Amino acid sequence: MIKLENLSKTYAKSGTKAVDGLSLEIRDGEIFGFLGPNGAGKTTTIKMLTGVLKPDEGRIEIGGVDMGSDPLAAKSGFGLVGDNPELFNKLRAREYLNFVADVYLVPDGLRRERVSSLASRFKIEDVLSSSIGSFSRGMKQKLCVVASLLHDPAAWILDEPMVGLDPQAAFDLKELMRERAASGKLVLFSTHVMEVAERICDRIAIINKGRILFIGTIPELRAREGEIGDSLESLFLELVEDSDEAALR
Amino acid sequence: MTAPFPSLVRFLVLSLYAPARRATGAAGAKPSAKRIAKTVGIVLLGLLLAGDVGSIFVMMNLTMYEALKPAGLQGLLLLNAATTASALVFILGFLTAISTYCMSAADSGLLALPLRGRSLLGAKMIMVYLSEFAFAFFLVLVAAAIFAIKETPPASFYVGALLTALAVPLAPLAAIYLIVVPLIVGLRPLRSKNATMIIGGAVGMAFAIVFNLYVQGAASRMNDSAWVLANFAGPQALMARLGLAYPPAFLAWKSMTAGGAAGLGYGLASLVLGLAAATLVDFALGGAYARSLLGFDELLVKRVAATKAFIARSFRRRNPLGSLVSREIRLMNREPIYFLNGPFVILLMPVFLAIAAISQKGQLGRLLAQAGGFKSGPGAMLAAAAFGAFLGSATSICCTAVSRDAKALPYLKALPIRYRDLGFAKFLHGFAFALFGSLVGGLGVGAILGLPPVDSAAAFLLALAFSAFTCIAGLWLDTANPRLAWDNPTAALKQNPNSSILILGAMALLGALGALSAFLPWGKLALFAAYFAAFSGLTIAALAAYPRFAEKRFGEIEN
Repeated sequence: MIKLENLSKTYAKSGTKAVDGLSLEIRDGEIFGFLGPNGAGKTTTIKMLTGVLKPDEGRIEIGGVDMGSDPLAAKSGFGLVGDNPELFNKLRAREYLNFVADVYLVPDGLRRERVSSLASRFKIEDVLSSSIGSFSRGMKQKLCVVASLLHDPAAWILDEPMVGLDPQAAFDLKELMRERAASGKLVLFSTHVMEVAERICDRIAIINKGRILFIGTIPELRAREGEIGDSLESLFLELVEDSDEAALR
Repeated sequence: MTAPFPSLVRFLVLSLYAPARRATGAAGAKPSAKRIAKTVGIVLLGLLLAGDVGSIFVMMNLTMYEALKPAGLQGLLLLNAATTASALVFILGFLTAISTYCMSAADSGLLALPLRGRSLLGAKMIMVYLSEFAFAFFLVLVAAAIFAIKETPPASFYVGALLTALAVPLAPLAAIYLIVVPLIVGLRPLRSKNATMIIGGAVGMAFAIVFNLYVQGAASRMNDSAWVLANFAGPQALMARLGLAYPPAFLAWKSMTAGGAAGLGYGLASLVLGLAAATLVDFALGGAYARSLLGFDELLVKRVAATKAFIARSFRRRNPLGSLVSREIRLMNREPIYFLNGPFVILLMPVFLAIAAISQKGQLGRLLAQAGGFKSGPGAMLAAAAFGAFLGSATSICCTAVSRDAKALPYLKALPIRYRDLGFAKFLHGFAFALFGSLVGGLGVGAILGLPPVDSAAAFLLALAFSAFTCIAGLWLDTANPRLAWDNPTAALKQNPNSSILILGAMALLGALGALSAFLPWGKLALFAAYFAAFSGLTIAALAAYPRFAEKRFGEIEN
């Protein structure tokens, strides 16, 4: 389970308040979609949740472990696919995977088994000796997905994971999300693609200007907005526009 | 609206030479103290560099003038300047041309624009010309100034000197692209940033060695005017013969010495000849140049079947700290710009040392024989230690370690790694090379000076203590003030102020310690014990305090 309580963050350099009193609870066994326009605070929230940024206020709990008091244990409880796969272009794929597995203390047998199955699932098994710099963006994204699951985490956090993936890989990723949720693990991902959120999320949160506008299932959103036949996209746009107008008033 | 070509030239010139720009503050806002300090530091560094290189050429030209004057051949000083400038500009221009042949993203973007190949190459040639001109101007200025002070020539001399500075880089520029474009077009493996960097590095190193040999060799014989006249700048000397056989140098020389309209004519002829050569190369090779940029830096994905044996061989557990250290080493050594400006320095410096020792062997031997007390006293041990310390602290590994990792920091911070371990891995990486530098420097100079083994070992230990201190000091500095936003790796290392602060700070500290040692009436053992204890103690204290600082500081970084 992931619990975010009253999180706030203002960037020191720019003075921008990116997240404002955000609270969330994501349960084990669910796929949770985190939606919002550009600059809404999705990535800042994910960065705080994963220990990359320190919140000014609030509390983060991952699998019952408090991020503030025991960050190493909390970080061991999730796997992250970040928003930037352009990281270690000078490393070979297998060197990167070994590095990640070493950091998570994955034993030899398990790491070999997981590398084999995940790499073949995403069709990158024959390029593991190649330099990451020679990969396309999609291949780099697939490698990050494989690396994030090497320690079989209870929570899987993905920031815009579909960017750069071909249709087959996107399909495989969605299947994997479903499988993990079905096995009682938690999946949290941010996306701009409403169709993906609509198809696979058990619950969603819509965020704008650092505040949560809605948390719940898509039928609940439709019921709230009273627009039963509308697509998630139009509901999302309506909700965000309303919040922008309210902010202007 | 600006025409495409001048706009393209401006774009490339700004891409290469413009300093990183910060967002402008509110109108009338005062620049921060940090920014002022940085600007002052850069200006001082520039002056120091110009003064350093300038003093070498001033001394050489002055000595040459004095040697040539009695024979009435002092005009050859200007021929020598034009020839030397042409040769040096050719080498430096070659390095710039090859390292900027394809400026990655910028050039790839240009290929999608409706620009002719000759425009792309022409703009690139102008971009390279600017740095060549600055260097040629500097070299011609030194010789011309000495000649002007000594001979008080007519005003036309100054016009000739300016035309010379303008014209001298043109023919080498044409020659450079005449070589480089067919080379890269013909050899597919060269069409990668890494290959061009390696070639540039190798040529740069060869040039630095030859130049060092030339200066060291000349410096040791400069007082012998007969030798200078016969071998260095006399009418039969290589430089003079080359100059007379190379039309641009001959025309440049005549433009300064012929005087009046004739001088102006020679100067203009030199300029026209150079421009014609550069334009010809541009028009002839522009198309080929543009084609060679297609697919530049394209990497082939290596495919290996993931058999059971391959997986078993490739995936093995290791200690997380060991894994962090090996990540540091791989990321640094596989990025040419990092390797050439980092670890490679301690491989290159001993070569310079060996050249200096060999070329000035006689003089060094005489000096050592005269200074009998030097070897038996602490001086020789401290000199060896100082060189080892200089070498061990010259790699810029620790003082740029956090900056180099800036793009990966958000990801690393999400992994269950203690920030202290991340920093400690960076320290161990730097320390490994500091150890190597201290060994090569301390023991190498110890051997040249003929130190007894105990003194050499003491020199090595002193060098290591000093280098270890600079490693942890550099790491503190870069952790406290990393360069987090950069577009290319050069900015993280070469343009990182922490690197200059650390290297220059280490040199200043070594100088101060040298002066202190000369002043202190202590023996070898006392000096060794004091310096070793001081630097070891400082290193241990800084290492002990680093974890707490790292945990706090890495947590605060927002990028």
